[in-house]
Amino acid sequence: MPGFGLLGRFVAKARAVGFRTALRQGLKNRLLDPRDTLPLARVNRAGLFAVSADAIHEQEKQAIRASSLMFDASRVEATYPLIFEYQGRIMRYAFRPAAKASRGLVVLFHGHDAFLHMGPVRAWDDFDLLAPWDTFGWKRQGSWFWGEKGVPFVEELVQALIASRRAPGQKWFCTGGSMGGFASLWHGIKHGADGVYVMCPQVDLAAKIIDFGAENKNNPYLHLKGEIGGPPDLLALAKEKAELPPLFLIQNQHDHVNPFADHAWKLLEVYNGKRGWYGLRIHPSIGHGGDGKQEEAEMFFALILDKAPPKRFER
Amino acid sequence: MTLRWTRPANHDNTDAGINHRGRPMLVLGLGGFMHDYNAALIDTATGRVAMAEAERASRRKHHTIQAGEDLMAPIETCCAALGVKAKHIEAVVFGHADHFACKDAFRKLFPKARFADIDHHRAHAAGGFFASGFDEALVVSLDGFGDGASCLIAHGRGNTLTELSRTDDKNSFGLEYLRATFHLGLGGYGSEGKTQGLAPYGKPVLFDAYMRHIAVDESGHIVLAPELQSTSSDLAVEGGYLNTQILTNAFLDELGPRRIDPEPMTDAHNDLAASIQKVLEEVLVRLCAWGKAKTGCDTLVLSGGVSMNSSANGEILKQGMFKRIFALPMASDRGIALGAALAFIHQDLGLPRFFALDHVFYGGACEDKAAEKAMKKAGLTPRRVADPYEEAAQTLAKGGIVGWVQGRSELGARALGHRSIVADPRRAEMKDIINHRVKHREWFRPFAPAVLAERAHDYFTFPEGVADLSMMTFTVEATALAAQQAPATVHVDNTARVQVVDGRTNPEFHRLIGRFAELTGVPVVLNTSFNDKGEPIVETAEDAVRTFMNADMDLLIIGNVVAESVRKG
Repeated sequence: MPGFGLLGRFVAKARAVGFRTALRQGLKNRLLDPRDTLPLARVNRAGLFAVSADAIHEQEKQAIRASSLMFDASRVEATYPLIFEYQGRIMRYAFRPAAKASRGLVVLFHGHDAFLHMGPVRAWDDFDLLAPWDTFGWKRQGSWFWGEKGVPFVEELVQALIASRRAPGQKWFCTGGSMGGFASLWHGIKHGADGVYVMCPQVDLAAKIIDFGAENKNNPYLHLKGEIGGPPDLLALAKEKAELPPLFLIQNQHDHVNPFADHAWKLLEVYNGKRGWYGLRIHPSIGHGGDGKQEEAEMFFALILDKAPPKRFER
Repeated sequence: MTLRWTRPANHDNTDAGINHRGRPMLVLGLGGFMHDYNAALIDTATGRVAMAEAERASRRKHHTIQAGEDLMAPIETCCAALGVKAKHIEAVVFGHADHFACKDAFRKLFPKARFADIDHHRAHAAGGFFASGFDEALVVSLDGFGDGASCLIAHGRGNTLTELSRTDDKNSFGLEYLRATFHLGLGGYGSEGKTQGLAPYGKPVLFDAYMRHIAVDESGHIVLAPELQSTSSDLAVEGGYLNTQILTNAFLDELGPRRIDPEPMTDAHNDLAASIQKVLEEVLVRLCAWGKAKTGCDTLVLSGGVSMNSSANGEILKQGMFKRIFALPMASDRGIALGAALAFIHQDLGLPRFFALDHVFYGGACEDKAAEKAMKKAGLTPRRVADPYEEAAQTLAKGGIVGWVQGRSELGARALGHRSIVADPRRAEMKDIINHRVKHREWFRPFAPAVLAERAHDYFTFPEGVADLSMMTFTVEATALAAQQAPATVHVDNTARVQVVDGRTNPEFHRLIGRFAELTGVPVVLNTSFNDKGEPIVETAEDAVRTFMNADMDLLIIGNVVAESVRKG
């Protein structure tokens, strides 16, 4: 029944599945579903009470098997259809203009091996979205958007890409999880982003090299370190900066990959010391994730633009 | 109530179309929950079958189910095809035993229906065997993964499918082929055909090295050595995101860093493609030989996503191991709904067999009026013609490229003359023209010939009566005549994924090729799917017009409505 909008769709649905089912589905779709609105309801219940990381991994394997994750991961090139060339290197990326009038540019950094902790790349309502794909580093699975062997050529490549897509004076923001969380913080702090929204980031990469065994040839972090240069030192960078971008950070209570005390907290102490503005949410779960979402990041960046919080919090 | 797979059926029920409660039944098969969501609806009273793929309506290739989306689209298409209402569906059968979130949504959509889970590989095997029309056959289903398995060999007889061996997904050869495709930078799932197309350009220099790490054991299982199994970095294991890591292994890592498109393709890449293709053919031959020795069957059914590899199927055909072979045209998860429904009907309900797949034209049709409207809206000038075959053949004979839409659309990944781009095969450069200007894809991708059945043996070499070659499921060798008269359809290794077109199952396309043959003396046309890079095959007139406008074709024909390209005009 084209042309009759909601009613037409309802009538068509009722014909297909019966009145009562259509009504039930319609109401469910139209009314707020508490599972979508209450963060605590999204808790990974199994994870919350788990004591074995192996058990969690097994559950995740089962969940991956019964999802489209494998399909999506295998088609990663399609996620990043555009190609940027800079100084003889290429970087694939995605760019999604804002659905409405753009209020700024958001750079979405993926996690290790293109894992999108923040969900699929999609257009945002009020921000242009730029998502680079880091195919450098160990087994081409990512260089923390920084570089290899002590040389930060990927950082330069990313910054050149951002410059190519950012209008003069346009506000810009960074977001991502895990490796993408580190990249958001590194690029955001070093290059003066207007806001950063991250989930479960690495902060202390030198510590991660040791965690994984400095002699371990399959240590992805080790690939960051050269004969002379070390991995990027985020804490030193943050300490050097006079101003820090407004930050919202989400962390699982028990993140076995990047324990809060060993990573995010170290950075937040720098923010505390420099009176930087930040928000923090601890998610009551274990595992390397969190309940961060692109929708929430968009709200946070809009809030920054609306309220213009200072880069330095005055007591 | 959820019915489990409870009994290997061997029933005496001869009342076709009657369920165990004495009434006919509408059985809905659903599958493709990882990718390629599809539905099949079977009316057991009449034996009528309807099938639909979600991607055709959504226009998202390999349609993956998104949370909260309307799941009814392909189901409603099936209902419309059979003239029934969804609320009358009595049984819903899933082609996956694993718990997918969408299953809960389906249960809510059909509150009165009974539900059954069919193991994924059972569904693949059942789809192939019960659609084959064979009374007895060896069934080999080779896949990437599903419900924890990657390969199933079974013995089909009447209503029964007896499992002979099952390989777990850790030893998946389908995944190894995907890993090689990923390493080559050709894409991921659904891009394996590119590797197949690239293979003839290389030398299988890695074949021996590969085979040192692969075996088919005495129990009929594929065994991959640790070097070929998916490796997860410590980082990924720790993080619990194993999905992407499954696309690498030690063997491929040793070859060097994987290619990222558009980095250049080298001889080493071509050689890897050639090697993995040859390995696949070897593994498939060994699996079939094991199954044949076990069952004594000289009839074979091939199913599962890997059997979309027409070269591997062609190798089995060439080996002469079987007197008859059926390869399910929608062997990937695109056909899983059909398999689930047929498994339920024949094995669980015990109803006798009534279905044999001899064509794939189960999709929707385009009305002339809709074609005119869509063309006008796009700025084309439509005209109705009495003989669209003449129009098309004349254009083809002059070297033109035609977008050809006739009758009901094809189910599955291959366009078989109902939603096709058709071209003159006599010009060798036509392959490059269509790859570059029309389909915007890699230079090495070959195109298939569609040949009149009555002339097929003049152009292609294949044994008579062994396999149905009407659905592009086998690659065979081309004769010197084909290489001479239809070079655009003959691959660099002198093979072709041939479509033999007969007047009974595909009369419209037969008529078109016949007219082209009258004009040129060549009973072959180049046939490729009517879609652009990355999009599903066109379904509606609007889809066809949209793709036509973006591609460099000369003529669009939908039913009896014709429009010339604006560029040409």
